[in-house]
Amino acid sequence: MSKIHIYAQVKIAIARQEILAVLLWGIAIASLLAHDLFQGSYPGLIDFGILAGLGLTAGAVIGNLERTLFGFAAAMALGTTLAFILAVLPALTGVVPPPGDETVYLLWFTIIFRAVFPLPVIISLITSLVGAGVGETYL
Amino acid sequence: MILTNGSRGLLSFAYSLLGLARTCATPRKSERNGKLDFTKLNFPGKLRPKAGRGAQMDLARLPVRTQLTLVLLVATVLISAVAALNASNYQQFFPALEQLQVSIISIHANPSSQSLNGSVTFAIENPTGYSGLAMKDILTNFTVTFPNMTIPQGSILYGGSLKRLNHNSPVNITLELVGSGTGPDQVTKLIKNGAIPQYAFTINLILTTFLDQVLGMTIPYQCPSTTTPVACEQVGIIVTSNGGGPSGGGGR
Repeated sequence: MSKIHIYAQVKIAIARQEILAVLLWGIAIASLLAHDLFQGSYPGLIDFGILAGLGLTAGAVIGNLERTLFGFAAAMALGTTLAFILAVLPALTGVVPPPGDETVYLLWFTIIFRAVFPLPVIISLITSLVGAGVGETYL
Repeated sequence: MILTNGSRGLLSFAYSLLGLARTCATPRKSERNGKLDFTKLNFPGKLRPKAGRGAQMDLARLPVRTQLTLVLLVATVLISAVAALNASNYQQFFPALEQLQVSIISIHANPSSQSLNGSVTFAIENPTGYSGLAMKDILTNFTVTFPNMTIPQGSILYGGSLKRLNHNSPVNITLELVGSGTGPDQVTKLIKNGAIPQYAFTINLILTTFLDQVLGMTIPYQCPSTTTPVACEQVGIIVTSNGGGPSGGGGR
């Protein structure tokens, strides 16, 4: 009974476009990070453009400054966490045995932190707030 | 549909996905009374996915927010698809480091008092499907061993061009065996006395990987004393910091 209740709530939550937008935004950030970092490069101009586009779109969909701020935090947390999990998967699954796995965790924590701060975070924040302003005013 | 109609097809596909999500979450009239039947999916005609011009017209009628959500969905699917390729390649990175094979495929020497006058050829092979590894350099220390004596012959640095280590295409590296100091002379004297020399190599394979900005990777190998082709054994993986990143060492 309670399972069905939770299932219904999850489905309704997904149907709410704001939550869907934050989920998609987070997955897109994770994918962008994975694409760059697994090739050995940090986010560049094109990635900043894509992040700006994603921020604008997500902000416009959410259409509320306060919610966008929370959405931004959630999407960033989701994106970086997903990218980190993807990166340390070989250590989690035992492909890299101890003590090498600790190096993998530390390495990817540092790389992802350096990749995300400060420009991508600032760009995502500003563009999402602009998007939210546009959404609030015109949509 | 996606392949044949291109971006329009992708939008229609995304629309149908979103429609499905919305439809699943929308209870039927009978269900609103408190009974929810999740065994049946309902597809009201208005939200039923349509292909071609019908879908295009429906897309135009959608609220702007929904259209933007669709754009976000399509962008996410595209970026994720590209990232999935890199992620799947990355998952083979550590197995590739571990399984990288080095073997001696040929060795010969004709020592004189000045030089060993020989050469050794190493084959380096990446048996995994990982692409992105390259050999930057190879540093070899070698000794000539006799049953009761070991004579160090110094080290040799490859110093050649970058060699990509692609799947199942071994890279052959040939190094000249000259020897150092009085080593060749000692070897020559022992051979003249009837001793049979064997050659033992310690190899440091210096790699170029996608982590070069933060980490340097060197894989040491130990090759047994030999005069014939032989496989070398990986000793561990040495990780060094390249400015800013963490440093550490890995091994078996």
